[in-house]
Amino acid sequence: MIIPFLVIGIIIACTILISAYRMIFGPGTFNRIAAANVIGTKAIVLLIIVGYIIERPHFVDIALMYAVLSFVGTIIFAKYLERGELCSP
Amino acid sequence: MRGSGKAFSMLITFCVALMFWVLLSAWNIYLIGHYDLFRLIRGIIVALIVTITVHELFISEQAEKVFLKFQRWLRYITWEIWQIILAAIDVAARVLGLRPIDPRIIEFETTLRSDRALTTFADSITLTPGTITIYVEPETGKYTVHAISKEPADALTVDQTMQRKVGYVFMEEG
Amino acid sequence: MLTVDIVAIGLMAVGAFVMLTGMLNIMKFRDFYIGIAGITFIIGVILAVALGRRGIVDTLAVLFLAAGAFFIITGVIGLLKFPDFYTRLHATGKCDTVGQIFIVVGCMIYSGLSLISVKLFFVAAFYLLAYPSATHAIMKAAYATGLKPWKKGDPRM
Repeated sequence: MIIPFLVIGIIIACTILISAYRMIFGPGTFNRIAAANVIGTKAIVLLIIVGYIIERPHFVDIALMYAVLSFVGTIIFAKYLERGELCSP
Repeated sequence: MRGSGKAFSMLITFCVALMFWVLLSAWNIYLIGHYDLFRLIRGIIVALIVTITVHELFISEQAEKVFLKFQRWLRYITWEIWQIILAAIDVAARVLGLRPIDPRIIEFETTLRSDRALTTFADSITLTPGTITIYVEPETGKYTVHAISKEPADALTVDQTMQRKVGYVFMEEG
Repeated sequence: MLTVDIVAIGLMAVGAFVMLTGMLNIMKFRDFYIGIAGITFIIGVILAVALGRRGIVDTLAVLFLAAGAFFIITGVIGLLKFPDFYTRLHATGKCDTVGQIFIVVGCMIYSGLSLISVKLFFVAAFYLLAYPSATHAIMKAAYATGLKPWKKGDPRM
């Protein structure tokens, strides 16, 4: 039962490509950040699916780490754009 | 905080942290067939450090109310998961053009005051039908919300089902 | 073992029927009965997974993966189609979260009762906590910097 995981992996990769359109051409900074957030969270699921395809499901550990990193990156970027600095005086 | 409350919160935090360590590091049961003692001792040391650092943030209530709130929170979260699936179907219908979109920004006030209740309600608003929290004022409990259409906005300002449920969970209904 | 199969499929069918009718508002069910139906469905899934019935388990996993793929594709269409930044966040914030959680739950059902399932459960819980917070942070930043929301009748932004 590898074929369903292959199909889902290809679908997620295609959606990542389509989101990259919004990240490259999207008008304004915020559209780009939203698209980057979408790509970051889809990459987590793609890691899990790839782990199932090559029959090594311990990729889940890497996915957990990447989830935390992607979330912190998005929050820091949003806060920086909102205030223009990272620490409030 | 009184002494017994502090010991209780430290105990609960320590148990949760140690359980998390065991669950995340137990993969080598499959490789060597047992869970070695040295790994467990490392886990206990790390869990102690985590407990001393964060126990005031993790549980800051009186001991008798925590279990009741947890029980009510579990019942709320099942209702919430059902609402999330409904919300996704609603937004999918709007994306595919089956329902119209008519975005607007609304403001309303609630009776919630504590940090935990405000955060839970803001996350619930973002996950359920067609509304996203923009701004929260903790002193007055005032929410600024972007709604994608008229019916989701009315569900928050007129019906107020979710507000009453969150207020019931955290015992802060007005 | 045939009776176990029939019991598991029956429990899942009853739960799914009540949840679908409640979802489509065909009959007026209260939240209480829908909760009971969800618990019935989950008991059926756990019965099939715990007894190792590969046929039922694989079919269920594929169904969950397909539902997740539908929501993810819808979310990306919304990201391209909607007229401005705020409405685009509506599409990604809800459809994507639910689609990815469906895919993770499909992987959990496929793995059965093991440590991988526990880690996948952590991933799903992290999604439910983190994705709304990230959406809220981006939206608050955009609103604070003065990006105007789209009203009905305006041109696309």
